[in-house]
Amino acid sequence: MLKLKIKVKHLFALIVALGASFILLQLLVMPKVEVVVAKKHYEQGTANGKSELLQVIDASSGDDRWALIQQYMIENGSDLGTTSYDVIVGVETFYSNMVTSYPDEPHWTSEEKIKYLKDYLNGAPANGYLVRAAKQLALEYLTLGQTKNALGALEQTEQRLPRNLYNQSKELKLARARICVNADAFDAAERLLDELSLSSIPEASYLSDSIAKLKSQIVEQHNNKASSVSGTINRSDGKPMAGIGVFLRDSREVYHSLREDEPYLTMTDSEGNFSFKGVVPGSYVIYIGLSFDQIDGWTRPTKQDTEWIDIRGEENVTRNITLQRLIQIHSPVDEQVITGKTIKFEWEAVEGAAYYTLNGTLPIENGSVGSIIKDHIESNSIELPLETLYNAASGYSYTKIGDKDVPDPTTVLGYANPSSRFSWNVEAYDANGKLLTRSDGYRLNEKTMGHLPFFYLKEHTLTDADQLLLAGHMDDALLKYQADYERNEQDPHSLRMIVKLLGIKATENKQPLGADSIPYLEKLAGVDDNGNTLSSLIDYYGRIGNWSQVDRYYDMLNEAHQGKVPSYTQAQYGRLLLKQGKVQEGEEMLRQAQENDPSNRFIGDYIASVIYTSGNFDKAVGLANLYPERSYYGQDNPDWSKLVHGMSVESQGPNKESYFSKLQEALQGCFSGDQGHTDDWIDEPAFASMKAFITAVSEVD
Amino acid sequence: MRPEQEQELIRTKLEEELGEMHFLKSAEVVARTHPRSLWAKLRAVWNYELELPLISIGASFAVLVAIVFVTQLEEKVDKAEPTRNLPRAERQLVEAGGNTYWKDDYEKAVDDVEVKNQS
Repeated sequence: MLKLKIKVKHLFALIVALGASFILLQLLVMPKVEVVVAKKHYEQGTANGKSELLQVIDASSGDDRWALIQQYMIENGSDLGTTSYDVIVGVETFYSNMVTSYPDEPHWTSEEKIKYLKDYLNGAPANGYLVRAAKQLALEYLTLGQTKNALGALEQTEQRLPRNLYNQSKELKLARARICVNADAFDAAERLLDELSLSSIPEASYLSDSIAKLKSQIVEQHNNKASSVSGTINRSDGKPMAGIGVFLRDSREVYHSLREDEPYLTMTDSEGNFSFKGVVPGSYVIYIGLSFDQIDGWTRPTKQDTEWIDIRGEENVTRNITLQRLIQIHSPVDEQVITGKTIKFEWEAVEGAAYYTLNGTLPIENGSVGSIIKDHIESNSIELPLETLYNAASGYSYTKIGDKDVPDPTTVLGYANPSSRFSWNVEAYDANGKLLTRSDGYRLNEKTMGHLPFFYLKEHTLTDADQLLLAGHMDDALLKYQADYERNEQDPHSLRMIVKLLGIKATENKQPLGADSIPYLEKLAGVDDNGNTLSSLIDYYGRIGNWSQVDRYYDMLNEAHQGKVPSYTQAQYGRLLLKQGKVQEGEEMLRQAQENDPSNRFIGDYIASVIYTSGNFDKAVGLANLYPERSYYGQDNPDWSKLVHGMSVESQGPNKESYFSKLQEALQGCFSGDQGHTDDWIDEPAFASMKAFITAVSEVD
Repeated sequence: MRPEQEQELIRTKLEEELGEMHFLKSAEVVARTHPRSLWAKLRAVWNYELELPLISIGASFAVLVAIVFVTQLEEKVDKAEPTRNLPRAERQLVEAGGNTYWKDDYEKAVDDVEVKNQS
């Protein structure tokens, strides 16, 4: 057997060596293991993860320590940027990154961040992280109301930065100036901005832009009549929402996603309060930034057109935001299959709700298209005939069949497709029509997930025409539907599909609905109690100038909506009245539409009709100021006040006598859609303002 | 020559050749082989040569090292019991039916209702 010969003294030496290496392991290797384990626990969000990581940070020193603080505090920390929130909630829009790294990471408290960031600023080497650390520390101080400390941290860091980080030091100075402005320390802010302006700053850069914006904010705020927007964000259970990002966004900016250089950014304090001072006149809307924890199971109830804040100067606007609990839905849920002729929707009752709106969605390739199934439901459950769903206006999406983009047949079939998985949601409104809460939103844990809002409708059996449609043969399907309908005029499904397919065809040919569609539309209008077909008929007869039919179908529509015609249709009817020369009636209809329509999208038409009938530019300017046009989809909304003002000045010029009659002539052409005969004189420079106004009116849609 | 004479001759010769050499450490050698003082006894032990069976010693040593290492590690790892089995370095959101869910939760919920509906 293999034997080892060893002297006692050598054995002793061996044991000593082993002991020493064990001690070394304890001192050098185990701490490293400890660091790795603590990091992992923190990232996974285990119970002690945070305290373990803090212990590790406390125990480490030098570069290791700075690296840990960089990685776990600064990198994912917030310096009031837009990237530091999980979800940006706009108006009926939600934006979040679809992939989240380390979703379970715990959050640092203000005390923790202040302690370690202060340490970092004093000791860590001067690099880009130092600037971020300073801004984050300043933010923590600001949320605690410690403005002086915030300024101190930024200034101290600025002094520490070496010359090669010159640009970063400017950024810190700008951050200080911004804090000074918000704290009403205008002299200090101006001094800082002057210092910045003196240093070489490239023109039209982010920095020069920001300096200009801050300077105009100071001017605005210096003026005692400056406007402000403030408010409180809390939850309906009374909990104040601290540390929420609040973004006051200009109507000219909302069409794009939130950017860092937008001037009005802040964060709620521990009581949930926020405020913006020195707000320049304009139209604004508030976006908020939240963490997943804060939005999970809750919603910010907003409707697009009711959220605008119009600042005309000298106003102190208060806008509070209350997050509401999502409505829980009861039935149909969890992929329930409906085979009967009716479907019963049921959901949790909402306190204070006067009525509910039920929406359905059809699945499409990357998401869903939704539409209203039933409006003004007064109880928290309703049993509907499936016909109501089949008749609901539903959009359609495009899909690729072969190498061609075609309307996706499953969406064209809508609720009549037995293999589609539909979903639904509900909104609750109070008696004033204000949205209270909704059932769709962020549902990120077991408790908030609730039931899945999916169901199948398998009452309808696919016809041969449906099969043709699903196979992508749209023209053949249309012929088959038409043949089916001729055979049986009591077949609402074929009728609906004919109207839908003719509509799609017209859209594809970029043509309005043709005369051949009208008999079908009129038949469908007789059986569809939603009134969806009527707007198409009004549009058609308006286009061909058959005014008696227009009036007839508008009356029917009015009846279908029990006198509550949607403002969009009201305005369209008003425009048709203008078109047929009934300017006074048109003006009245547009006035009513304007009262019901917070979007102000038809204000141009209304103002034009007012000017036409009264010739009163001052009244028109007043209306333009009262109802500024703004939109979520673009930045070039006409400034009606400016346009009318321009005409008002122009009308006092050399053409004073004939100006108004010329304007009426031009407007008439504009209303009737026939501007040919005004073209000659309107191009003259003396009518430049009138031309600008007429062009803007003709572009209203 | 008689053997006695021959022996005598060799001895003389040897004495002549080694006459210059003297064995000085006789006392030391004796002290080593038959130690009397404590110091000497200790030194004897210190230099004692052991004969050890390599395999069994090596194996038991390896076991010992392994035990020590594992207990050390376990102590660290067990400090905090993970709240879930899988580390979640990354999670995806998914929009479905108007709601936003975590993709893994959503897929599980859909699987669950499908199993339930089939049974």
